[in-house]
Formats: sequence, structure tokens, C-alpha cells
Amino acid sequence: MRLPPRQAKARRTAAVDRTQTLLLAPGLVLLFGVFMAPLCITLRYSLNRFIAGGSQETAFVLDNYARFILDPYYAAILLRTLALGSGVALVTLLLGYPLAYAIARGRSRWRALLIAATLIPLMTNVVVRSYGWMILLSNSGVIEDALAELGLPRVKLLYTMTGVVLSLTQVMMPFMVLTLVGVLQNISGDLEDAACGLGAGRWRVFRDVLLPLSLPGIVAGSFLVFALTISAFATPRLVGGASVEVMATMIYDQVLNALNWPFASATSIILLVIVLALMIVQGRLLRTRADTPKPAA
Amino acid sequence: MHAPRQRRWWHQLKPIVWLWWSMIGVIVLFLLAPIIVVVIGSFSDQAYLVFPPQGLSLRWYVQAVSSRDFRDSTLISLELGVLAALLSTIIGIVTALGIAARQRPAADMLMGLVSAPLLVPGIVVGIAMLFYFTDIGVGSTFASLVLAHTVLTLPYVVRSVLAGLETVDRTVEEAAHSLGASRFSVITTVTLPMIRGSVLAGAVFAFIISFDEVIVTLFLASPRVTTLPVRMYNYIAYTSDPSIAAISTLMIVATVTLVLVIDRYVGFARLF
Repeated sequence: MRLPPRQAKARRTAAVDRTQTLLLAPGLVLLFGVFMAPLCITLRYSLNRFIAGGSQETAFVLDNYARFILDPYYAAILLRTLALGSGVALVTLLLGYPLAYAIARGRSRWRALLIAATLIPLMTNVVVRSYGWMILLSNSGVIEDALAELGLPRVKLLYTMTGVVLSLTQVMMPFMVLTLVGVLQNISGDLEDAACGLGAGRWRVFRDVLLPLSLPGIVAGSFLVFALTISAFATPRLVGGASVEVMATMIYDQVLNALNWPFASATSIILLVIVLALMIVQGRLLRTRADTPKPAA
Repeated sequence: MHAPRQRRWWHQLKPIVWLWWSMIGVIVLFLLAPIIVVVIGSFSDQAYLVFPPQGLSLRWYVQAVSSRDFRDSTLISLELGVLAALLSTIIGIVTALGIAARQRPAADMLMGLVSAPLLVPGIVVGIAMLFYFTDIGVGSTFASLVLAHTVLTLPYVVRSVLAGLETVDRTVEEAAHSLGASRFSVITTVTLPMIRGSVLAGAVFAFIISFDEVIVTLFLASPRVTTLPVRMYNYIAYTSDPSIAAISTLMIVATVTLVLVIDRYVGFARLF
């Protein structure tokens, strides 16, 4: 049977539409079945009541959230986690900016070497890197010995906040550097030369030209590193031990040692909400900047 | 007056340039320090790891390679990586084709959904999956690990394939279609061959992400089914002999080789 052309076309479009929807099916089934569903269960568990001994009672209470925020012990963990995130974001920015600049402006061979120096740590497993830091920071390790050689007092680094900041800075720096390189590469070197030619010193070129133009990269890199740091588990656990408890290590202990699944769920949801809020704020910040009209020269 | 001595090139650098490159050198050293320490420490002849090592030996390599636990975990990591990469590549190609066929707002929303596993902290995904697989009665098995790793690697494949699809000249597909090829054969004989580089890059990246994954796996692993990084994590948490440094060094060598091979054949621009 031949259909009039218009009807045939409509039928074909419908068929294409159905195929296209079918194409999305496997991915959506996987995402809802193995990702969204687990998150929903976690959200549900967070409202349950914990029964001593490791089981839970179905309920609709906010006790677990209240406990995390009101109990000074857990509030301190929340603050410590946020402080760690800010500290690591700041130090990766201070150390990552010069390296990113050197990569963005470097000649080909140096550039390749510096990129390799950034990528090799990124691709080395985080357990291996944390292990390296455990050796470096240990009692009478190289860093402590070097400090003693210089006549400085021996400071304990392993299982301290300082040690965790130091090692997480190394773990997160590649993310900062790669984000900044992306932005710095798009800033023409001619702008710096022009500023220099007009008599600006190095510091002024940096402050008045480079810094404002690279601000989107600074914001994106800092938010990314902050979000990754407050979610980090392996490094704080291995380098910080039991003495530097952060949200991730606390969640782990609640699930596997205290068997308090409702409380672990509530803490996880809080962590998730913080990370998502950060992403939204970052999106807003970057969009507002992009929308602001550039001042006329 | 003495004649000026022959000046080397670094004598001509201004102090500020010197200062700048020393600073870059220190930052690079900081980035590589833990890796250098592990590699050098792995050749130690001591029973516990000190840096720098007093004497050199290969005994920890012998012990690491002959350890049954580590061999089993390496095999599990490889099997898991290959299976997860295969599954997420197949599903990823199909999903990317589905997203590419959509218009702007819907496509962006779908992409956001696919990328969601990257936004959610690993520890949260880990406990959520533990609760879920326990709840539905599957428990911590190899199958749950494969499913978890497939979800976690899917975003990388979809991104890579979508990037490839953007470079494809759509008129070629239309031409094949108007010459009588079915939608399915257009995809398999025209589209896929044109984007095979992106598909391969996505698959390799999926394997790397799976092989590297620690935190979600930590929750789903059982004593019998444990991946290499999780085995190493557990080992480090309780013992400190340098055999773990030997295994780490082998992993680092594999990583560096992979970095060089990918850069040679695929190019990093594709991955970042």
C-alpha cells in the first residue's frame, strides 16, 4: 500500500523518533537502576531510626541530620572538612598558578616535560601517592630530618592536619593546573607584552592583566579542588589516620564499624548537598562574569 | 684587569628568571616527590620502608610478584576493567547516538544526567551502592562491581563519542541513507567507522578509570573479590613492608608507559 507522501513522512519521523528513544533506553536503565535508585535508598535510610546493634527501624525522622549538625563532635568534623577543602584549594592555587603559567607560555620541549610532570601524578593511583606521603612524612622521615638539618624544630607531620593538607595538595594540584592552563592559554601573550611596553612592571602586569583575565579559571579550579577535597577518603584516612577525622572517613566508619547506616546516610546526603550547592554557585559565578559586558577600552 | 671568563648560558639569566625557574623546579619536585620516594624505596633491603634506603635489593619485587593475593587481585582488576569498559563502551555509543539526535535543551539535560556519577562524591556513591546491592539481595559480588564500574565509566565514553560525532559530516550519513541503507546499517557501516578513534579513546579511558577506582570498590569488594588498588589500600593500612612499594613501582611504570602510548597514538587533547 502506498501512503500519500505527507503521511509517509510523518510515519517515518515517528519511527525515527521511536528508534532515538530506544537508543537512550540502555543508558537510562543503567543510570536509574544502578545510580539513582541507590541514591534514593540512601536518602530513605537517612530518615530511619538506628537500632543499637546495627539494624534500623523504618521511620520518617530528621534525628540523624539534627545529630550531625548539633552534636559538637560532628559539627567539628564538618568544620574541619570545610577548612581542609579551603586550605587545599588555596595552596593548590598558589603553587598551581606559576606551574600553569609556565606550561601555557613554555616552549615546546619544556612544555611537554611540565605537562608530563602534571599528568604522571594524576594517573598514578591515589593509594600509591598516599603511601609515598606516608613514607615522606613519617617519624624521622626525609622531611623531618631535613627540618632538623636546618636547625628547625622537629614537627610531627604524619597523622596531623598539616600532613593531610600537604599530601592532598599534591593529590589535587593536577586538577588545578589543568584547569588554569586551559584559561591561561587563551589569554594572548601580546596583552602582557603590550602592558610591559606601556611601562607596567611584572607585578602590575600580573595584577592588572593576567589575574582579572584568568579569574574564571581560578574560580573553576578552586571550586573543583574544594569539592574533590571534601569528598576525598583514601588520603585523609592513610595520611591522617584516626586523628584527622573528616566527613568521608567518618561516613566509612559509621557504615563499616558502627553499622549505623541511617546516620552514615544522613552525613552522605549532607556532603552531597554541599557539593551540589558548590557546583550551582560556581555555575552562577561564571555565568554572571560571562554576561557582564566588557568595559570599553 | 682580568679578561672576563667565558660565561655560561645560565650566567646570563637575570636573577628574577633564576628565581622563577627554581620555583617551578620546586613545585615539580613537590608533585613528583611521593612517586620518587616509592620507586627508590622499593629497592630497599630493609624489612620496613625507610627513605633513603640503606642497602639495595630486589627481594621485595620477588615477594610481590610471588604473592598469590596480589596476583589474584591484579587479575580481578584486569577482568573488571575490561568488562566494565566493554559494557560502558557499548552502552555509551548507543547513548551518545541518542543524545546527538536530540535538540539543545533535551540533549543538555541528558548529558547532565549521564555526567551525574562524576559530580556525586565517591564515598556517597560507594555507600549508596553497598546499601542498594545489599537491599536487592545481590550483595557484594563481582557482578555488582561490574555494574558499578560501568556507571562510573559511562560519562567518559559518552563524552568522547559525542566529541567524535561532532566532527562527523552528517551529509555522508544522509547520502548512505538515501541510497537505501537502513538506519542501523548506516550506523554500523558509516558512522562508527568514522568515529572509531573517539570510541577507542573512550574505551581506554573507561578501562583506566575502572582500574584506578578505589573508594566505591572499597565498599563493594569482598575478601575473595578484591581489586589491586583496594588490596594495596588494605595492605598499607595494616603493614609497612616495602613489597607494596614494589607493586606501586610496577603500577607507576605501567602508568607512565600508558601515558606515553596514549600520547603517541591518541593524543591527550582528546581526553581532556
